[in-house]
Amino acid sequence: MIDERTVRERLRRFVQTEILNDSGPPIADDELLLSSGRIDSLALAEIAVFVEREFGVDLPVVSITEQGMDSVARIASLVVRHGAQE
Amino acid sequence: MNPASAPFILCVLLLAAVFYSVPRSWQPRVLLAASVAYALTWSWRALAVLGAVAVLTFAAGRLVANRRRAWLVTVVVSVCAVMLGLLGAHSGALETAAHLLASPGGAATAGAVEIWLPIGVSFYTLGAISYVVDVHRGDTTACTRFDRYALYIAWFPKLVAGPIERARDFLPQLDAHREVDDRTLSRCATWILLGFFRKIVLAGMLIVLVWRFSPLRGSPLELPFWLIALVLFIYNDFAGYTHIARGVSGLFGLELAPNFRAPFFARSVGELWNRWHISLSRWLRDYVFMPVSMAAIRRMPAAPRALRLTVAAIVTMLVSGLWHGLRWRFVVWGLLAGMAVALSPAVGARGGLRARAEPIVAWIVLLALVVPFALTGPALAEVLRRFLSGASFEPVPAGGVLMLLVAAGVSLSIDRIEERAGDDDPFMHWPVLARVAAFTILLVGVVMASIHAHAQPVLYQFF
Repeated sequence: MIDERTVRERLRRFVQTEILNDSGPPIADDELLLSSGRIDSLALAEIAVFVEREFGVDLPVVSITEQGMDSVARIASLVVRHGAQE
Repeated sequence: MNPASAPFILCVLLLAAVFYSVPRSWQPRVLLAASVAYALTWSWRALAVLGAVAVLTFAAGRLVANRRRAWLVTVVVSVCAVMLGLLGAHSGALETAAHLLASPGGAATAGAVEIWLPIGVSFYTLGAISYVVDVHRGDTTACTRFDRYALYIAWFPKLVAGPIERARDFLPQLDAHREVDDRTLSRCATWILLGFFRKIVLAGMLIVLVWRFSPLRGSPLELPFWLIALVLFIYNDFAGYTHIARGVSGLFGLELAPNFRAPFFARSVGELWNRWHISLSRWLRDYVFMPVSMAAIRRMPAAPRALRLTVAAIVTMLVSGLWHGLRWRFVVWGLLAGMAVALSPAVGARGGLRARAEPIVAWIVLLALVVPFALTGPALAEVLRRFLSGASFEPVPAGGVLMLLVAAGVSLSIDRIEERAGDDDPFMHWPVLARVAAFTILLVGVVMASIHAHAQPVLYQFF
């Protein structure tokens, strides 16, 4: 099992570099991403595929929601709950 | 039986009396019996198709649980899609909807629609598909009791036109402790009253304006007024019906999903779809947009992000268009809506221009996309011919414009009040006198409009 802090770090790096292309200020773990307009629905799909490859977690479609994935902290918590692997 | 009618509310009150006088363990069966009886008030075909969908998807759910028999999921989804396609293609329902919007006598043909298109089939079939897919993915457990599952499919408040409910949200409510306290009762009563006001008063006023501003008969200058009246009519007709459905369902302790959240205040095209027909938008996001997007990311890793978004958005909106009807105009609708969603992030993407331009673009997209609901191909060609041939550009009637402004103002004001309340009773925190005044105005409006106008069918029952 992998700890939540490591998941957060990798997720933050992915969102910052791959989705936001390092534009704008660095994101905080509890910063709202979707509801603030910083990322869009396609980004949720990109994060879901990243999580699948990086942590071996196939997120249930019911959990890929605006509320459940609106910040790095919430996504990390979701990933750990579904059994993230190294 | 039209949900926006006095006999419907009378039946609901009688049912509530029976419901609260039987033991709790009997209550779901009472609701199922009422739902079966309600489907029969439409036609025996409605009940037969409802039963077939319930039996097929209940059995499939038991067989596909936890990633077993993926082929069966494909078969069930295909059967449902083909059934919807065949029923939709041959029903004539869309033409009936177009006739209803074209002239006061258009609703007269509505009875013929039922022959081919069982009431609510497009809505509960999507719910049934989501159940089978969720069970297969392991996102929800398979229901073990057919009577509970049949109630999920047939639940009468949502039968005519949704909301498209998910089994994972609905089924647990049947076994949970359902408490209908004063606050719930007040919220449900307000929703029902607001629903009647939107459907009978506002949609009733607006359909008259849609007929009056017809681009097929009047001055071409009337076209923008016709479009605004049309989009406001469709919204108030559907949102009013949804309010009644949610209010009635809540009286029995069963919450239904919301369908609208002040869509005319959307700040972008993307946000518009999160505010308009929300239960369909969420269904499309979960079962079309996300799988297509993820497949595009996996299979086209080198493709530009904009291309992936465009592919996913167009496929999603094409499915949405075809769900409304197997017609070329809905294919065009899907393509245009998909392009609008895909291009939305690029609209004035620099500085403050984006914030100012996006709400305007959302309005333009909304107005343009309602055209296929009201105009068949030949009618659209006639409108274009009138424009190009220089039909007489007479001034727009001032009375009609004034009536449109009043209806739009009231509709948008109610939107604002509802949005501030979230998903609660919009008048909950008002002073008692203001609350009484609001209720009185709504009630008097509904009674007066009911006396002076004939009830129109809910537009979305034709989809």
